[in-house]
Amino acid sequence: MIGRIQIETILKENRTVLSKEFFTPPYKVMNITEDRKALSLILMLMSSSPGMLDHDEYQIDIKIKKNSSLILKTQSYQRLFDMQSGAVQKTTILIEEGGSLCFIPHPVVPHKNSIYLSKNEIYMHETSSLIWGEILTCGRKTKNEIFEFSKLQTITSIFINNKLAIRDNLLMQPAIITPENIGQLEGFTHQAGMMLHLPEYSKSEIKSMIFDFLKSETTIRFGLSNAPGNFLVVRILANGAEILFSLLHDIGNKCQNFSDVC
Amino acid sequence: MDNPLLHLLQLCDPALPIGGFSHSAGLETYVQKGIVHNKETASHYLHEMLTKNIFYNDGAFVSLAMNASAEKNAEKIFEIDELANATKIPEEIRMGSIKLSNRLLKIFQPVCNDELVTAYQSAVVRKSIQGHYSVAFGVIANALGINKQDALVGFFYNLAAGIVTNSVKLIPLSQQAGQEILFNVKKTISNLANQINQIDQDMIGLCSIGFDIASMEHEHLYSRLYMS
Repeated sequence: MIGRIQIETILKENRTVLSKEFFTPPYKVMNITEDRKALSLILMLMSSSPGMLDHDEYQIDIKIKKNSSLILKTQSYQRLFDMQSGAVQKTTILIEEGGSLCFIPHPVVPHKNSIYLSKNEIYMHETSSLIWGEILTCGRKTKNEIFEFSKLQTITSIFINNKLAIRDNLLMQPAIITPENIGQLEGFTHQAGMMLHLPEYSKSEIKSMIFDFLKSETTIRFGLSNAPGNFLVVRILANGAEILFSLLHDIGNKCQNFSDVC
Repeated sequence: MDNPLLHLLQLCDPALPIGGFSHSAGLETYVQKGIVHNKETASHYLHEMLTKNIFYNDGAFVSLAMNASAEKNAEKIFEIDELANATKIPEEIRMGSIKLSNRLLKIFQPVCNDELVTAYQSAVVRKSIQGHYSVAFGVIANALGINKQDALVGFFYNLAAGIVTNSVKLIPLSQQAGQEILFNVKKTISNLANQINQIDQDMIGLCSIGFDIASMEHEHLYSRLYMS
């Protein structure tokens, strides 16, 4: 199945509104903005399919025009079923001057033998804001299906003013890279990454806020660092998807004190 | 007459004054946590660092930089440098690589008399690129007429020798144990240098999350001997 979503937002009378919207099955996009006076538009990506099958290809295109602000949410975990050649998701995002995006999707759950490649390309301006999170899981841990997928890869390239700033290439392929080993997940089963670009606010203040918040969590390991292109990157290892999902959302919400993005 | 082997020996000499000895790339974190604590764990760390990290990152950048240099394609070299910068997400790893590159260029640019080395250094000076160790190494190795496979073997060996020296000092290990680790990693190094041309585009710049976090944690270690 080939699924497509196109979303474009603009700022109109100090509110972000949808200027273009197009989607094909299994996708649906729903406006769940509660505060109709708020700057940000909140959209929920919904899917009628329980997950991705072999040869599925999803393509998501998002344009955030000047000074508009989008919070994109997902409805549920996306399963990846048994595959031979794999499923692909391609996401292309443009965030114009002063625009902002917050996207912390539910993780994918890779079943045995699944193969998945997700390629994200984000083009933004130095004045655009981004809160971007992603979580890679080991599979259905409760069913003892741990690292039995074939390949799970997410490549996120972020361009600022058309120049490559960050390329985060996360791969789990147990046949060639043993997840338990030193340098990899080192005994943990789940990993998360977060990339933050909040140009109007002090990076060092946001950094110490996140550091203080995460250091009280005893079941995780984490690191955060000043990344290229004025980004702050957080990496976390844990033993479950829910804790990571909630930590990423908490960090996103805490950034609210610094910006209107999330 | 130029002897490429002599050039390679100088380029890969661990005593080359570029400051390689002051970077541990996260090893200091692992030693302080007790994860790397003896010959076996140090050897495992070295093997994983070479085969899962350096192979897909700095090793691949040396290879790409040498290909682009052989084609005399300066724009391509700058693109590879941009990619190297974009994939070095932890600050200490990125800054360490930039420092090594600066010093390597300072030593070799005046003696190489090579257009590409000069163009690369000028691009760094005018800040249109950052300048990374692996890319500078590839451009200089090409200028010195070093064969690509040899340059890669030398590059991996230089990094392995650095990791072994750091392990001997940090853990500590006996000098003999350190040299045995280095002796035994030679086959791995040859294999990596031979396989590097077959790396798929999507595998370049792979993140090793554990190594990344160790480097990020290093920024906050209470007491530390190394810059990274």
